[in-house]
Amino acid sequence: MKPLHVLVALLFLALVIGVIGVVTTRSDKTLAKSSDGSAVAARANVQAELSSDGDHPCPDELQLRRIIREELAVLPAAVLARQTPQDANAASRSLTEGAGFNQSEFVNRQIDDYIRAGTISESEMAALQGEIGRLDVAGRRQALGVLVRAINSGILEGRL
Amino acid sequence: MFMRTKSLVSATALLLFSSVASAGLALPLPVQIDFAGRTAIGSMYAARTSANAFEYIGCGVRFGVAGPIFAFCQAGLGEAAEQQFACITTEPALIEAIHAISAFSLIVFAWDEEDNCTRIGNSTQSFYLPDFKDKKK
Repeated sequence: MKPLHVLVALLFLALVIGVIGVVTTRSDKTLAKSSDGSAVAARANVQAELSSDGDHPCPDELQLRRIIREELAVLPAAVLARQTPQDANAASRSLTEGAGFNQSEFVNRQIDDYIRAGTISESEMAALQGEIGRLDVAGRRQALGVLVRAINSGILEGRL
Repeated sequence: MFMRTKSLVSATALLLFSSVASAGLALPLPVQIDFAGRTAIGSMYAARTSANAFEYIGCGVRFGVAGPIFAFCQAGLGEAAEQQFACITTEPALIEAIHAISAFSLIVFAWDEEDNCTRIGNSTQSFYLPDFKDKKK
């Protein structure tokens, strides 16, 4: 091998190392900038939340309020009636009922999906009944009513 | 000749009546669904041995670890949804009634406009039982 060839090879190697170094540095900078950006955005959100008052709620707060209003609107009146400030267990009970409410929503959504599909297999029915069994009595009655009426009317093909 | 004929008639009559007597009273009750009156009735054995391949009647209970989840009764006379019906209940008294149903029981149930079972009854009688001596092919 000639010395000239060795020199060319070394120069090429140095060039490759240099290119890799530049690319890596740029990527790191981009990542750092991006993470800085997220941090800044998060800080801005926190500051906005802290500084927002009742007269000028931020968009996120408005959205949260809307969601809460929607969820409260569909809560059974009986559940709301039982939640009195005097009740020492109100907080824990409302948590339980909140969990029940979500399960109820989940089950009702599942039933709706099966009705849309028009059919429910034996195994799907067994699984669904398992989910229904986790509801409180009122939720269970409601879900079973929808299910059985769908079967009786023929819009859902399946067996209990 | 006369004596021989008389004996033959007597033997035939004895054979005939003895076979009827050994069977006992049989009252197979096929499934009937009164959609207007919201009731269904029928014996499970009659439904199962019916010539109608879509005839059925029965009740069931689903349990969880905390106890019964719900119960249901259902009956059918045809493949179409309009010829079948199921009611559901979470009432402990009705769920208890289902426990008394046996394999050859007559079942009767009623429902309300929301398809909730309002009444579940059963009757376990000898005349609903199959003739165990009758070997069907």
